[in-house]
Amino acid sequence: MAEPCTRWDAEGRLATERGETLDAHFAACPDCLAARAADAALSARLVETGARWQPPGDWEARVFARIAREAPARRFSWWYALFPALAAAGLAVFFFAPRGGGGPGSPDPSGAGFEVQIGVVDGAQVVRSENPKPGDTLRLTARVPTRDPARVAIRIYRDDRTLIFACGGGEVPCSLADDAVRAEVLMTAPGAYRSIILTGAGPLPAPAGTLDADAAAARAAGASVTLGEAVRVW
Amino acid sequence: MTPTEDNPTTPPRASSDPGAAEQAVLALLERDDRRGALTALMRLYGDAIYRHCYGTLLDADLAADVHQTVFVEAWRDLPRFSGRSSFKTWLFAIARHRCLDALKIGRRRRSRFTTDDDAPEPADPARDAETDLAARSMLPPLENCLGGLRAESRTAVLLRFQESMSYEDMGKLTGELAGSLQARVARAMPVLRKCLEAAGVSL
Repeated sequence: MAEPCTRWDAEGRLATERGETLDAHFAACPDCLAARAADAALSARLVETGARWQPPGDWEARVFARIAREAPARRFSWWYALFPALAAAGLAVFFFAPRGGGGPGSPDPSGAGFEVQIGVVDGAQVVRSENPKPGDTLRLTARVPTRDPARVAIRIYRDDRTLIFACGGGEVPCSLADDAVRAEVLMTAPGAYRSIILTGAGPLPAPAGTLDADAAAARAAGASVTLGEAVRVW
Repeated sequence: MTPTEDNPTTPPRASSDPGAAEQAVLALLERDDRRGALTALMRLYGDAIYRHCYGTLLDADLAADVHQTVFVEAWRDLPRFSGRSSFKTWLFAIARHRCLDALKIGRRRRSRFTTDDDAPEPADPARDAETDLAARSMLPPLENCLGGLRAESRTAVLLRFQESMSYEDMGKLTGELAGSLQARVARAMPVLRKCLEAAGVSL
């Protein structure tokens, strides 16, 4: 028995998707005609199945209830708290200072406060960050109690796979002013900008190329990993 | 109290003229009626966004939660809506990101239950696949087979066939080339078809 023709799967479907004219074979080949008909039936079944995927009946009310619950917090909405879990845990974070010693404005070595904030900046001013666009700048601020270049690293990835910023962990340090470390990152392209903070007792691994690979490498090195909330640029 | 009862403005409903419906939403925004605009968007695209969430996640509870999150975010961002895309594309972009976030969280949650805390993520692709397979086996055949596709392929197939979205619009959502998406859909279709045939579903 002859093998069934697979030209529809191999090329006919894609040609049709591209709006190209099919050659005469596809009008005469029984296998191709059957495969094409099966595709049409599958397409119809997808539509039919999707029509059954309905949200819960009260979902609109639930959305407004959530909005009402979250409204008070929105007073501070131009800040995105990147690492609330860390803040809640009161985890001490060590960071590298570009100059030695604790001069005026340096972090208090005994302080336990830790804060990271992010916003969109325009010149010297922080402006709204509710709907950041390509070309906006992301500002990251971390109030740190002390510094150790080997024990902490902050990295920001776009879509979890493009490293756009790294500091700490022996890499280029962030700037230090007043009592906070600051970094500004130009968000040049749409995507989800997500931060990752690595803390460990020893040297941290270098960036591994993707957020997941970074997290895995850090865990393998015994470091703790905390992911920040994604900032969506659209 | 429902949002509609709160709001004296009658929001536009799903229409055969999506352009006019979107204009109506813009008009509500211009009148600073954010609640009316969100209600209109929920009526226009709520079902489609849920389909997208469910089709991506294949978990009704998770999809319902992410679906609500999409519109909560839309509420937050509506005052800054720039009109550079349609509301539909804008909402689907939010949904895509939130669904991908949910998938990642699901993978990470599963990895916490492994015996080796230092294991890379996903902790064990084979174990993840087994977990997914067990969960999917409870689904109807088509959903089960959709679950066998990679998330990006599944999403592309569903956007194309369930939402009739053009490849150009899909490309705006995903940042991929239309041709790549075409090829992805073309590759996924025979996989789906064969999976269904193997499950005894005749097409």
